[in-house]
Amino acid sequence: MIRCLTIALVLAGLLLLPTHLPSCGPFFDTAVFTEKSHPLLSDRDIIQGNLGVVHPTFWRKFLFYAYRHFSGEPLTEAELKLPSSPENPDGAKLWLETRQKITGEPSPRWIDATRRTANYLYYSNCTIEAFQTAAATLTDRAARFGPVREWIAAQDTVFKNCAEGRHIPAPPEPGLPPILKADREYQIAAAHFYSESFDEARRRFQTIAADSSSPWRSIAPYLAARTLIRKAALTAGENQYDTRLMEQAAKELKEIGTGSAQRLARYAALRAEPLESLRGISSQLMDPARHADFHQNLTDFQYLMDRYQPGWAVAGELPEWIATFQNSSLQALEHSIQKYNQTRSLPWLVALISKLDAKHPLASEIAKAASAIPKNSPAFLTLAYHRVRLLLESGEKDPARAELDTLLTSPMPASARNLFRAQRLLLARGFDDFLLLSPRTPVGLTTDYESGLRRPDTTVPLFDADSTVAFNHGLPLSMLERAATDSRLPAHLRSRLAAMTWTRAILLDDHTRARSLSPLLKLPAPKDQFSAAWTILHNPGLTPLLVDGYDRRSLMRLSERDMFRENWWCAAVESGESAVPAPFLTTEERAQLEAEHAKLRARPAAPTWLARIAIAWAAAHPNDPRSPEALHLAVRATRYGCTDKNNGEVSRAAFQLLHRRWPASEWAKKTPYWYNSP
Amino acid sequence: MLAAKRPLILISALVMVVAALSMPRLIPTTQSRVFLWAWERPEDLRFLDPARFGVAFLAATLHLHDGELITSPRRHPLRLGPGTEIIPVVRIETDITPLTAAQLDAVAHHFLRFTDQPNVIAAQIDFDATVSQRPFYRSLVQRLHTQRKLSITALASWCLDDPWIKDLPVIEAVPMLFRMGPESRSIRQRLAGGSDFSLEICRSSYGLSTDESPALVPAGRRLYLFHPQPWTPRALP
Repeated sequence: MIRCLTIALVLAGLLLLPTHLPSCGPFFDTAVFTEKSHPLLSDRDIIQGNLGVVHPTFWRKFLFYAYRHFSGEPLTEAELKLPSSPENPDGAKLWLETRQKITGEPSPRWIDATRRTANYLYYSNCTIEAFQTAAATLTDRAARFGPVREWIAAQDTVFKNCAEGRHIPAPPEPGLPPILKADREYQIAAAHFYSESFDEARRRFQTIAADSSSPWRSIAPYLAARTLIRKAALTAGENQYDTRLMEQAAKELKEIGTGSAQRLARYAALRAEPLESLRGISSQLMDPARHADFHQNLTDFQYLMDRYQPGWAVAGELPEWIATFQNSSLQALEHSIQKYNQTRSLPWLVALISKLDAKHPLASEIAKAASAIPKNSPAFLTLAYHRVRLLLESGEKDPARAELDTLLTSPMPASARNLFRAQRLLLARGFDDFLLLSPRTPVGLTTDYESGLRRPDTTVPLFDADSTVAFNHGLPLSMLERAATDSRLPAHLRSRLAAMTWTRAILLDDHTRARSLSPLLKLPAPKDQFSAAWTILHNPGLTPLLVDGYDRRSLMRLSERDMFRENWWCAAVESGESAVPAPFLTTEERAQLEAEHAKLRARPAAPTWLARIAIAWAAAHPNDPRSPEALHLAVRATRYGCTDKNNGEVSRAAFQLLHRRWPASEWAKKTPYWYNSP
Repeated sequence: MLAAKRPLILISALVMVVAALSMPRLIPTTQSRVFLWAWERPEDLRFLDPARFGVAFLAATLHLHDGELITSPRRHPLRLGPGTEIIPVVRIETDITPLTAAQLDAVAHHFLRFTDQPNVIAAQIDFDATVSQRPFYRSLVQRLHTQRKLSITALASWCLDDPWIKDLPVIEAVPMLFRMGPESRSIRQRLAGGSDFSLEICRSSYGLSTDESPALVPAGRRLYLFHPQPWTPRALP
């Protein structure tokens, strides 16, 4: 029965495993409170212009959305609707399966479709369409002529070029049926194409195009143009193209006029005539009626903006605005002033105010203009953020505070709310104000492994970095205790604060305060330094420091040992760290904070501190049954805790005392080693 | 600004120490003591002094998923000066689906293909295999080591407390001493305290990143350096 239950539990565990895990790691979630590059916007947000505070660091796609809204041209549902994307089959696999079916013999196990070119890079040489065409043609020819082994051998030769070398099928044998003869000519041309003999391939495709009897005559002009594009891309060097060849290709492809030719013509034109392309695409992107081309336009727009050149502002105001908004130079500021003076438009007001500092002569005038923008404008929050920033920079705290208090009563995206709360935290009037502004709701999750954001599973409030720094370095112990017991904070944050304050109180020898917090943490009330150390030795999760965002350790029991060695803290205050008093502290409170900080700075890492207390206690109290256990726990802390340079010394001392005084104890048996792992 | 420069200064000091000492044992023929990892981004490294620097570049990433293999060959150019020693790197990425014998064949085939380059002194596998994937990895190395001089990247733990790679037929395992997570401090301090990796194959090279404080590099080790942006002359140690 137990065995069945065990198997069931293991199977249940396997079913619950995530389907994708990064192979590197460990990677821990980091909470993101303000989106600065890749906002998590729904289609509804994009259509309604709920963009929050727009930052110049946003990806250009989002800056485009912002520009459309700021220009009074909201995005439409039709534009955002994604076109259905076709399946992306494995072309080589299809060809190999077809080949095996026709011949009845095993095919090669794989075909390498990418080919190495100069500078150690690879490109997709043989495309899915090439393999699909080969498979379809083989099926047809085999139905008409039998196994067509020569045809297959010739096609194998063609595909040998996909990865390397130059392999050309033999000319058609005399007496071949005309269609197979035409096929062979096409195979030879394709082999030249894949082996990068582009001039020869083009000549042959042109010949095929002129052959009215060839079944390949209609596709041949398209392929002849493709040879120009390949040659232009592969022979001119990195990120450069032979524009003459690209122009010729674009011209020929436009004349062909089919769907795939048009797409390839567009590809060539983007590279041959980037400025003209940017002009056209920018214009189309501003026209909601061009929704059918929206996604391709946006993709191509981003491609061109990645290659933006200084003179390209003439391509239109959309690229000009994005390039200027993203640019932090003095020239960009001057350009924004000029454009705003010319247009008095909302996009340029946003660009300008984002670049001004409070000392700029235009700051006041522009802030006033921004304050006239109504609340329902998609730029309202961005402008409000900069108006407050300018007030803060000029030291006008009361108007800034009043502005923020009004703003924070309105609905807004969580990212913007966090940004405004961070501004407001700087203006906290006192402890209560500070406390209520500290918790923030994260808007996304990321890890060191990812570039984007994920939505968090829950929306519990957490502490961001600014309030964490204030708790760790800006408030005296008395205020930390008030925070830890203030019911206006969510219970999970109070609990984190209580553990931090309790440990800090112990380090500061304020056992009275620690005793008052003990019931909250369900910890024994400390009677003296040893009993406090005893409790900490049993609870590796206790720490005098708060961690911002998702504190992974706080999700574990205090008594649980962390497998990633986040046990027993390193230093309550590192040697170079200073106190950062919260602005609302009185002179007395500041002095108290400074004194506490100095005392914490003098404390070593937890394992060293705890081991010294345990050793002193055990040496002085040989009859206390806790003494050998305390020494064992101290050695354990020097193994699993955050260590310092004295770690080996105290570990050995605890180990030796334990084995000398209590050699037969269970604790000595559980302690076979000491640890020198600084 | 100062914080950004500090690791580089430290690395510079370490490299000078390394440069003054003997060559690593396991690849005795290499002239370069420092290999720059050139990852998937455009890199122009023609400014390198080939007497000092070699380049270990990402040649391809092989994605193993649900019984299939998808190859992602290098898509960004790498420019090198004449005489630069190179080590093509093939990264293997997986999900949790079991790995198959067919995938092993395919990985071996593509590894040989993507590491078949001129001026190659060795080929490197970058595969953070999970415990269940270790037999696959072992078979792969057994399959390849007669055809390439194999270097592998290694999690620091593989060189310390979890030495499952100890008998792999490779010329070196490069312990990756960056992006180590919460154990970073402990491992760094352990090395700074004079401890060394227990495995012989882990004692010829160190893998470091320019944006993290480096571990203290013992004498005679080859450095592999990662840089989070494209390399420039200023980023060099």
